[in-house]
Amino acid sequence: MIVRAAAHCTLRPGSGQEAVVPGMDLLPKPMARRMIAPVRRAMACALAALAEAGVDRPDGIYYGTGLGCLADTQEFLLEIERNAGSLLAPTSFMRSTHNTVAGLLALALKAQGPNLTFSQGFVSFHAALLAAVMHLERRPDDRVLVGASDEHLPLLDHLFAQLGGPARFGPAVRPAEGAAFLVLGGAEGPVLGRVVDVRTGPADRVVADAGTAVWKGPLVEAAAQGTPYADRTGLHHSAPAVAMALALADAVPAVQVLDREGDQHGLIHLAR
Amino acid sequence: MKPTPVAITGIGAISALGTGIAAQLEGLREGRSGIGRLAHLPLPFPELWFGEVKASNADLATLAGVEAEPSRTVLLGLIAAREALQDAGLGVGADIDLLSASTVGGMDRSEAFATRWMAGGLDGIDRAMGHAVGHHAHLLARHLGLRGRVTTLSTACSSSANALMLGAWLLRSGRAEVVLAGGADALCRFTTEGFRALSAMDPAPCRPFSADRGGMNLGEGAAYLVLERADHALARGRTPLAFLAGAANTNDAHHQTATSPEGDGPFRAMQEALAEAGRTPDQVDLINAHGTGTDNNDSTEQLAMERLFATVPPFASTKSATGHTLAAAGALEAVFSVLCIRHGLIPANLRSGTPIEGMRSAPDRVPRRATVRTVLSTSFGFGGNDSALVLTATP
Repeated sequence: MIVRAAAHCTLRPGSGQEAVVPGMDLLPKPMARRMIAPVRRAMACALAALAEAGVDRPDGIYYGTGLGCLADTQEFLLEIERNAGSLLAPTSFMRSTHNTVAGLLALALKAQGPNLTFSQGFVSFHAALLAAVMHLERRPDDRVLVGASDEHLPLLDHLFAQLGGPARFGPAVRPAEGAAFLVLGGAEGPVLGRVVDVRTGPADRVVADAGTAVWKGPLVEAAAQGTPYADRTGLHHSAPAVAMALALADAVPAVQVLDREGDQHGLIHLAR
Repeated sequence: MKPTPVAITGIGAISALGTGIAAQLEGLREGRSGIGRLAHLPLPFPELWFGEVKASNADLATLAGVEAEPSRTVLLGLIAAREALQDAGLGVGADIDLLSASTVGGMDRSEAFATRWMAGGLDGIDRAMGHAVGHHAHLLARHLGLRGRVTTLSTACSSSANALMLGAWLLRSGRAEVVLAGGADALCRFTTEGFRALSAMDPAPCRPFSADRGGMNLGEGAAYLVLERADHALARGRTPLAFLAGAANTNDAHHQTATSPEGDGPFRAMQEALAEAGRTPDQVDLINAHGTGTDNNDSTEQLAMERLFATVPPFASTKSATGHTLAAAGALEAVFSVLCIRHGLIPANLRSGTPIEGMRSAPDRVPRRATVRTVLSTSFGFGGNDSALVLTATP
């Protein structure tokens, strides 16, 4: 499958650096005002990738997220604790459904095709990409948007520390948040690279020679030092999507994006 | 050319109608309602009506055969998924892909963590590890000994209908041999408070497709179906229970939580699913409607049905019996559709009042026997997510 365009952003909490987010000027203004920042950044990346590919309206949207709109979920959980018994404001509840970003993209783009959201920890994006590839196998001339995003909360820093921190995940790896979106398919347009293969499943079905992996996820094995892109993506469930976008931008001839969630592995094999 | 037929060779379910397929069938045949006050879950909503699974977590853990207590979602999922595998004659350790749907996952555990956190402590954060919705599928696969792909779909109330659609895609693309697809969602404070905040809850037992409907009742449950290519089923000596002949997902692209006035997204989902199944609207014997009981859903859905069908076939929302089981609903209603085909049954839309003004069709009020060969089952969710499945007696 041909990759037409990609856009991504990473935000490192506590780094003092602003995230560079492509496509912020493309967001519909009234919609942008109502969104919380991470959703705004994810949508901006999606719109930037579409603009670069010259696609107004994708024929399908495939999205992955490990934890969804986590800030809204936390807000509603705490709201229930604070104000039990009284009628709560529904906004943070509505936005807690994992398909919020994909749904808002459909709304903004008037995209009426399939709209699927996947969540499987660090292989959420791999699952979305596999569905996008299957869409294009069924309808080869279609153009689809595929991406992933995850949010950061201070609570995740605590969890990171409890799970072993830098000692386990690598000295420069820290919890972060980010988003990446790609446009795939279509008969013409720019060519950024090619998805040779995408697999998810148990190790014996998925893991090939991972020597060329640019992103070997933190839970694949303790040898996280062998993940050259981890410093750039930070640690979050959508990091594999960001790693894929980075690898395409770096024009790496052939790479793999490998990660693991529980007993599941995900592998994306890319070529120029 | 029709796509490769996808056979359904096993089903399992748990809902407010009971535990197991036999209980679901009996409930549908008798026109029984599982809606009532909470009796087993310690949630603070005495004034609301629910489709509660009539068992405590400890009871469910015993039924599921697990010692520790994971989230209620996982317990419900385990019970239904195990039944489906047994029904299909598949053992533990099989090379089966799991496509599971959930919206709340381990939210009950996250709620317990939030309570402690508000009281001042971060200890017990490990309790919230199951917060990631994908974690429920991971636990299911591990407990069931499945050695295939594990993927969670989370598209609000259409989630498990989409899991079934994706299962068909995987089978037809040759990437899977056997797929276990379905969904599980347990009642919890999060969704109850959320839908209450949206004023979407009927203060009485719900009355889908009635002029005086007042919203939904939340339900809980799980349902799973074993899917495989028809030739694969035949090769291992299994007779299909029914077929998943068509499936479609569209987006209404109208509003985050409301359907467009004419039900455009639902209309296109039904139309595309029928086209994939190679069926015309006049071949549909039954519509298992989404029918949540909310003002917006039922009128737009019925309008979409009236646009697609010259004469609307018998239709019913079985949510009047089970409550709205959210991510489990699409699979639960697919299971009901299979039962209606197998046992020649038109289920009831319970508590139907005066039909919605301006409609020329009305739902079926009492269960009855009929020949059912083709069922259209619909599921619509937040984010404009609209899905339709076509289940049939023959490929």
